[in-house]
Amino acid sequence: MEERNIAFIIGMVVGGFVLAVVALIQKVKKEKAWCEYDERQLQARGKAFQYGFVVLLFYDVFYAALFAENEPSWCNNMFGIFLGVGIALVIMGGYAIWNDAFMQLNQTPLAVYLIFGGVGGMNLIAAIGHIWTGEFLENGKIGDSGINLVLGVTMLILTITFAVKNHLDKREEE
Amino acid sequence: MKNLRLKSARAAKDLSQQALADMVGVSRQTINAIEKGDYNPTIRLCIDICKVLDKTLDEIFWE
Repeated sequence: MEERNIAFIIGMVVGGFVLAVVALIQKVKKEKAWCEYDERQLQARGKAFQYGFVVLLFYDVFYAALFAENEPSWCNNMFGIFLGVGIALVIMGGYAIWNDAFMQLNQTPLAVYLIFGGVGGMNLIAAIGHIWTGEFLENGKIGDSGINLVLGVTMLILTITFAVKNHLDKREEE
Repeated sequence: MKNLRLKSARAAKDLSQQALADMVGVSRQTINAIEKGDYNPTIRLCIDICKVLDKTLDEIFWE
């Protein structure tokens, strides 16, 4: 197995572990009943997940139909698939943010900025590093390291959306 | 359709949207959406809002 594949699998396992820990913390918090979503937010989040799911489904079907035989000429399949994940995340997160269903009750905007900024920043730095060292392109195509760029840009778009919505909410409140 | 009766009942109690939201356990945006007529609350939330505002369901929510 290639060194890069091992690193990718380790990254996925660590990412999965972090997500599981975050989900566990959320569950404990929920049991303490101080941090959750209200009924309108749950409804909006349901729609957000629905839209994200449909977009990803169609993207994957079209991607498979077009590139099942041969990879795209400009990127490898790993990047192509993660591009769909990024688009679906933007749709899902963007809808939830725009409908005030992203933040839990009692959650502060700072926490969201820290999460988005942390994940987005790390991925963008990694992407810039890959471009700098010339690892971004593999045989003239965008390779696995392009995933960092997808995740970084996704988080950047969500951060900007969140900031704009937050600003509009504050003006409305005033 | 805007729910002006909710808005005026809240104002009569001198409550901000955030204060009412905190008292009934929802976000400020949810109260705002109800007042603007963008969201139809469940009967459970309607009852909670009425209890806080000392109003009946008819007075606040019945057309």
